[in-house]
Amino acid sequence: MYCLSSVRVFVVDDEVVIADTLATILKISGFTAIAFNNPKLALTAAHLNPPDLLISDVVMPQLSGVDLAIQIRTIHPGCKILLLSGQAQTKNLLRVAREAGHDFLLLAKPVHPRDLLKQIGGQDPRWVVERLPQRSSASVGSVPSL
Amino acid sequence: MEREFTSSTGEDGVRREIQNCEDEPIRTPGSIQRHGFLLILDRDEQQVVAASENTTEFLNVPLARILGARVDTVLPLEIVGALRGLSLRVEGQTSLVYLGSYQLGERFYSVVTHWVGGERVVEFERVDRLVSPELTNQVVTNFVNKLSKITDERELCEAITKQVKDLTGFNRILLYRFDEFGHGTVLCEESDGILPSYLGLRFPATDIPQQARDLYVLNTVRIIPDADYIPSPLRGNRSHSSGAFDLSMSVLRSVSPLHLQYMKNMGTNSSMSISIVCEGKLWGLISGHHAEARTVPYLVRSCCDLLTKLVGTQLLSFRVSAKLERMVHFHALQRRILMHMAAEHDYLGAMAQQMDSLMLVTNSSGSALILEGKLKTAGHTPSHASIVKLASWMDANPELNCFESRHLAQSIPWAADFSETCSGWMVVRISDVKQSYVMWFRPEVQRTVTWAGEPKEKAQDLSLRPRGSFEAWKEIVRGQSEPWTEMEIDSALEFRAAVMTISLKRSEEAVQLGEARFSQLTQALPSLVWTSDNEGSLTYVNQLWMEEGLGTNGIWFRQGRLVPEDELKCNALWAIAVRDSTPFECELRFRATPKVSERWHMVRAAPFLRADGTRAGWVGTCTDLADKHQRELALRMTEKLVLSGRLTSVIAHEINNPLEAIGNLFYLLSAKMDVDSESQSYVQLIESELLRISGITKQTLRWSSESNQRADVGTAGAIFDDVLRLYAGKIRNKEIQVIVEGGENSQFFGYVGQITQVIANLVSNAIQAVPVGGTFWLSASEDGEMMSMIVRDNGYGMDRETLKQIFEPFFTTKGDLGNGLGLYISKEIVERHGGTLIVQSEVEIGTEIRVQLPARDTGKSIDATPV
Repeated sequence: MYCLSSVRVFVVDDEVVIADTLATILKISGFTAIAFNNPKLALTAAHLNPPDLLISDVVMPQLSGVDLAIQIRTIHPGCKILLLSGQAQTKNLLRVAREAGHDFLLLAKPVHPRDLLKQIGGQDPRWVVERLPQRSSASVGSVPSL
Repeated sequence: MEREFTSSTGEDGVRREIQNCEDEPIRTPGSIQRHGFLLILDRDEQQVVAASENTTEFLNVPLARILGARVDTVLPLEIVGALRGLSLRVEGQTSLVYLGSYQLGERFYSVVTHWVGGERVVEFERVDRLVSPELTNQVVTNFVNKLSKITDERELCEAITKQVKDLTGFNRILLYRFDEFGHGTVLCEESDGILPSYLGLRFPATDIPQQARDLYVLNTVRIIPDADYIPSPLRGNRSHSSGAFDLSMSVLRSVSPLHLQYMKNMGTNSSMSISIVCEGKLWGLISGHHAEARTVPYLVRSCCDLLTKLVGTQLLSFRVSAKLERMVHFHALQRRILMHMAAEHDYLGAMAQQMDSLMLVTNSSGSALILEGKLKTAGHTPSHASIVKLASWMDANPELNCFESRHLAQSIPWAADFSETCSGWMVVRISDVKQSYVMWFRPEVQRTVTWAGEPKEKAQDLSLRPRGSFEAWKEIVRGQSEPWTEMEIDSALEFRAAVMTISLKRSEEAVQLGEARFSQLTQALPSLVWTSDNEGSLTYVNQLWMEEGLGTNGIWFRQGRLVPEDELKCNALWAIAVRDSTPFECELRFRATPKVSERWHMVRAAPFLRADGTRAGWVGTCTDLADKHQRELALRMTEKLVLSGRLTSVIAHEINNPLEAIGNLFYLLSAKMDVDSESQSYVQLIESELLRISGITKQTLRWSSESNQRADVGTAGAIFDDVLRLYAGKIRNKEIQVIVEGGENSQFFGYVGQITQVIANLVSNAIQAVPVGGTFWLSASEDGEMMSMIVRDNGYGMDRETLKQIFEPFFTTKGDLGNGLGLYISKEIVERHGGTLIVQSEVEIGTEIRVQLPARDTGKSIDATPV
């Protein structure tokens, strides 16, 4: 059985709540996820140990998500990329990237977690998440704190 | 009283009474020469009232017997008869008449007669050689033939000089031509060598005093057969003033002793001269000189005189044709320059480009054009500084339109500094207002003048004593140029006139243009514009003023145009403005007319000045304040709307992140909750509301982002979907039924975001108009080039009054900032797309609004600036 926990996901967003909640959602779905607020730190980490999936915001002060994605792709061409954006300019940035030969998937915020998981499944068939385990009143589990 | 002339003898030769040869009474010498005798008859020609003393010698009768005697006792019958016959003829009473050749005693006499003051003068000149009339005829005929072959002045002068020599047999014949100062230069000479040659010599003007010249024009021939003659005085009855008798026309008239002295100094004993008269002025003289005494018969002299008159006519003809030729030449030159000037608007600039041609207009070596103090030159001219000085000289003589000189230093002493390039100067003024001139320059031409004898100082040359030496005396003339001919001066003046005419025409054109511009400008302004004089009397009003029905008469603020109290206020303010020449400003009410209600206007008027600074009148404008207020309001409203539009997109962006966060959090929350708890359903509700919020923000972003940067094809269906989603809540709350009747695939071309806003506005209005449970319908259709979207409701509708105002900018706002842009702006957007927005409504029935838009890209650009 394929182990989702072997899939390493970087979640990058300068909005702390978004990065944390996304990372948490991914973890409870079974992935191994690390949240970054600073894309440069994510890049450094990628140099050490590149992720299998990058989920990143686009407009960030230190480095744009597009540039981050390009650079991580350079380190690890097999890495899957999902970009999230709440801003309109993104389309232009993507066009630039597309002209450079990269094709990144862009999702417009706000994205429902269910939709996000569906998109992740679309990136790699092994990454399909079954229905989120709903807690019965009996089960008690620990959820990684936010 | 009798007056005696004594001839000059001795060294000084002149009687002390004669101080000044100008004062000599040459017309009334009171005596005659000796080669004939003279009788004066009374008015009735019966009696001899005066006679020359020497008559006795000729008639062998004592004078006493002649004076007072009856004519027929003194003269032979045939002469008397001839005289009587003359009196019956009407013609030529004052001029000399040749009676004929008559014999008295053993001699023949040429008898001539003329009238003086009612008395008849009869002169008898002794004939030494008979001359046949045929000879004179032949001579004249030959000469006339010769004339027809002669082509220039010189040839002509040589011909006549030779002819006179042949006829008279004098030792030397000279032909002089007089210059503008009266100096005579010997042009031609025929001499047998006995007397020295004077060819080319110049004789000073003083040799022939002015009064002699005047006489020479009147009486064109005179002869002095013997310079040693002793004058024979006139003697008359006691009552007769023979001493003061006018002998101007007399052939025997005695000459001035000064002249006789002059002749003797020249070594001649006999002389004759014939005046060459051209255009009534003394052009020159033909002089015959003989070393010994010599007579020339009257008829021969007459013949020479006749020939000389022919020469005078021919000279005139030559002069006229030369003048004409020069005129044509100068005209052609002028025309070339003027044509260029007339074609250009900047006519003075065009002239400046043709400085070389300008020189030729007067045959100069240099030209200069001064325009308002700026200089342009061509050819050889003095330095710029000198030209500027000359221009200043003209400035100081504003009454001069033209000035010419061939010897400038004479009139303007400091011009001697540049006499090398500018000894001859001609200038014309081409503008009365600005310092503008055209100048022509001629260089100094050094000439050598050969005087016949050393000339005396001008000022004192009223000589008591004619000069003794006629030997060539050379003078080198400096500081003078070739003289300006009459044609050249005319050319300059004509050119000036033409330039002034062009200038005038341009000024008129400029004025016309100015007026046209003013008129056009004032018609284009959205204000009322008028001009008036100082009293305020209207001198011009623009179209708008007329359309307001304000009329064109009288003082602009009177005649019932203003509300009465405003008229009073204006009266006072106007008087102050006019007195102090300050701008006038006042808010006034124009009185209501049938067309227009009482409206506040801001009136401003300012004085305008002429070129010389005097006030020419007032220009006023009246701006409708109501309009301005309305516009300002509309503008502010629009700005708010635009701002809110921008705010909307900013807000939308900012909302996305929190929404994302909230969404994630609720997901996590639901994961922690029991599956079938109530909380789950609450979470679901929360999620759908979140969806709704994100739907709104996404739409709003779409409306104001990329989709607004480019016009595109959109579908009615997509628009309807967006708008209905937006108002889903309101629709649900009011339980409104929405029916989409079809045509969702209908396409339009434009800015999708803007069109969405328009439909949203219409739908919003429909929602407000229908009651609870009401219905509105959406439909679309295509129709060739255009497509329509219709929003129809069965709400309370609008009455006619409301319908009139729905498109007013500040009429609609029902608190709908952000989404409700008002029909004013909706209409504007639709019209910018090249479409139409039509409202139909009936009270209690409902409203239908149809938006028509182009179905495809027509290629016409759509103004997408914020409304």
